Amino acid sequence: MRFQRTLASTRAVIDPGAEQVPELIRQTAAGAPEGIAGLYRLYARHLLRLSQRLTGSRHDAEDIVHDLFLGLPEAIRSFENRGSFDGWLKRVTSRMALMRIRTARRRREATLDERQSVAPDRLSAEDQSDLERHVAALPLALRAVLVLRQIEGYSHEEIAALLGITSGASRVRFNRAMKRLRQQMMEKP
Amino acid sequence: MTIFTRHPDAETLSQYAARDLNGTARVAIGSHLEKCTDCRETVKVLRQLTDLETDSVESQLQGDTLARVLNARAAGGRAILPTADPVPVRSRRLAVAAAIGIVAIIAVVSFMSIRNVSAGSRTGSLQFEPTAPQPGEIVHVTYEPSAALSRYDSLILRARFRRPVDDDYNEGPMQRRVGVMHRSRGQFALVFRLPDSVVFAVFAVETPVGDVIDDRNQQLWDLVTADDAGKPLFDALVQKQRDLMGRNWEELLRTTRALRALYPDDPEAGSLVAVSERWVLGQRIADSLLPAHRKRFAALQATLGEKTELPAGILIGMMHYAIQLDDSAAKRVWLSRLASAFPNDPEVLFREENRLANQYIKTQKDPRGFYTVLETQSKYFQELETVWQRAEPTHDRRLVLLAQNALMHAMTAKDTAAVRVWAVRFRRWYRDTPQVAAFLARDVLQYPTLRDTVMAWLREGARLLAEGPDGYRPLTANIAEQRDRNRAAAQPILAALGRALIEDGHPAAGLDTLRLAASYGWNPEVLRSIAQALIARGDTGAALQSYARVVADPGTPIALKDSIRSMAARSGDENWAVLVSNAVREMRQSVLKRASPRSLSGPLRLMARSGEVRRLPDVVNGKVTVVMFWSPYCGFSLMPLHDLDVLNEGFVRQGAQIVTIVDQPFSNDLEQTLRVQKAGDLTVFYDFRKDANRAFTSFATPDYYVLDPSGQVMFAHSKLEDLPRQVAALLPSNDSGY
Repeated sequence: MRFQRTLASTRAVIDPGAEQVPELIRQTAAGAPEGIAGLYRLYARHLLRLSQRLTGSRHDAEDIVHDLFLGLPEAIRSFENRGSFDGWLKRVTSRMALMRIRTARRRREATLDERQSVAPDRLSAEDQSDLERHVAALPLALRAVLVLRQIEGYSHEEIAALLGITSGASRVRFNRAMKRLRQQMMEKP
Repeated sequence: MTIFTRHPDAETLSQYAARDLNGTARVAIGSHLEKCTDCRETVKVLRQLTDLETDSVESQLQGDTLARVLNARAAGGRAILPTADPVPVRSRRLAVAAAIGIVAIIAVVSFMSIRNVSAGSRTGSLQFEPTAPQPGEIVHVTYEPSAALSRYDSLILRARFRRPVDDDYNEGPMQRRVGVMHRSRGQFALVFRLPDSVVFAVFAVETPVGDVIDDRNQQLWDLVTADDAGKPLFDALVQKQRDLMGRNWEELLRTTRALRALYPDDPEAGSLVAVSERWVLGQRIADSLLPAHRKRFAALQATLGEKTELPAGILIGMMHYAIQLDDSAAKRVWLSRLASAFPNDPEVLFREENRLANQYIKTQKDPRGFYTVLETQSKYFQELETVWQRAEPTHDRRLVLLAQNALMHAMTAKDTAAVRVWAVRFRRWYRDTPQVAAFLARDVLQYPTLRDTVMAWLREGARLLAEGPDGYRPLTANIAEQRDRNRAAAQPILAALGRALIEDGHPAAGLDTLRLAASYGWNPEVLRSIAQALIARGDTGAALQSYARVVADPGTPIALKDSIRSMAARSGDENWAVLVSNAVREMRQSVLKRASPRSLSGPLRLMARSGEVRRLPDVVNGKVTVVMFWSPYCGFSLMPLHDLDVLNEGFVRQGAQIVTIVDQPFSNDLEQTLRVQKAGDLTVFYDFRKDANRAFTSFATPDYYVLDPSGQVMFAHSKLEDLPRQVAALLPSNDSGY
């Protein structure tokens, strides 16, 4: 299955201390700062990257990671050792990012000048690779599907559940995202 | 064999790129790719995207993020994460229905789960059985102690019980001792009966001598009463919302949303959500949520508008909701229905006072936007009298608003007869706090016919604070902390009493009272009164010592300092310079004794006028910094802006600064407001993410804080007049500007 293969292939990157994880989960569930700090050191960078790609905002991404670890001791009890811990963390992070995007979108719809407050959050061009820059420039609905599908390795069914759309819509958006991405790359390589 | 007559879609190419396609499909795609440059490029991009998973996108976190997380948790901060797996959407209609349901469930689940969140190892765990009792029910309490409380054999359970009639905030003698919890098998236990009138309560545990408290990192444990089906009572959630005012605004918003989710047909719930959103999320976000409120309000109007007989609570709720939505036509309709059905309802009578004030009190707006009273016709007080006669028997909490308005108008009009009537009524119905005596003393002592009455109030207030009854002690304060607070509260009362005694021909008693007031903290006004009393007694040496303290205070006006200096010079005292130098040291020590250092947690991002996002620690940048919260919609916070601008000039010369934080985005109107207030040079940041609001737990405007050069809060909720000496105390001694 594609989802498992992708996670397996990236395990070395996001799960360098797998043998410590069960103990860190137990400590975190008990509210121990050592547990939170251990999981933070293992996963925070990767989760920041994921949040940043989904939201397109460095500040939002930092907020998400901050809030994630703030609420982790209580939330981790719902993990119940079903599936991989890193997969669970990524799903929670993705949901938080998507909730934040939706909230921001609602605010933007109501206030036209919101862009002024978003602009300073954006990554500067030199901080990103060309490809990252093109991904970041995609419309939100397309970017979310592209990041979750092609970079994070989610199935369309999982993306559908995360985004509140149908799996068919996820496939259509993925197709459109790739077309738009290629078009952007040809126009401004 | 599959033959592609057109380009394969992105998903198929993605599977090809990931080598997930089976043999036949793989060969077909491969054949297509041999001929199609476009699809080859797409596969290349797809593979590059997959590789991004392992590439960095400038993913270094701020070094202090982990520290902020741990600090926030230690301070009781929590976040509820979306851990539940959502279900894929089948259709748009289902999506909408599901979304509505989820919002309601999240609101309720979030609200309920907050109560069960463990606050970590620094606090114990307090459990109630039943978890949601009915009023009057027996409650079993068990407590697993925190490390700090684990060595005791017995502990005290304290509570703040709230009835449906209790008011916003937590002032007055609201706390009580529930009972002694005894240890049994590592746990402490107690059984008590919840009073019938109580719908909501918060609890803390402390040692028998009240020196160590477990208050769940200041979050307290709460108990929400429910009906026999387990549904939280409407009044219980309203009381929870009132209790959270000033101590946890975000939880307050969650509570009002839970209230609305549970009671969607009650307009008061919608009104409370609307007002909470404005308080917690800020005007702009609240405005963006108004369309949904208007829709909800319209639906309620459609349902309730047809009904001829509605309870007062529903009519008031509709009127409040209309006010929150700025719908004056609807407000008039619902007020009219309320007044017609319930003419003696306190809400109707309070609005009647507003109407009389509009009719009989002429005001004028000055250039800075503040209203000054031009004329108060006596008919206002005459007609208000009949309103009061109808209102007072209700014993409603809104009586105090009515009395307060009337007293303010009486004082402004300098109408002695009216002041005499309304000061007594205000004090009778205002919450029973000693501080109200000090407030009244400031303005009412000048009326000869009220002098004896007000002095009796002052004595009563001073006695109450000296005794320090436990009912006034917040659940989060230990006995020593409360003693300090009582002394701070007693100081203005004793000062007013001391001055009044001297004026009434009792100089010795007055001087003793003033000295007692001075012993409760540095206060140049009290010190000056002492100096004046000593001069009158002919004790010049002691008077100069006291005057030296007045001069040592950086907030004393220059003209007064000069006049005291010339008086000291005339007295020929050669030690004057030494006296002042000693007084400066004394002042610094006295002020620093009151400092309560506290670190700020959270990202603390602020937006500058230029649109640049900055973090508060960068703004502080090693300087003693006064942070002032204000709002263009709050007249009380506009008034001091000009004074702050002037004050800042002196601070900047000493290496300190004032930073103001506004709750509205920058706009031409905001800039105009600053110009009108003659405060155009003030440093202003917009709290665009409410980071500062959360970190400071600032709950009102104006609100002042003084930070040391490391960015730590040293003085919270300061008074404007205390800022110069607090800043001076934090500056290096040779830079204090004396």
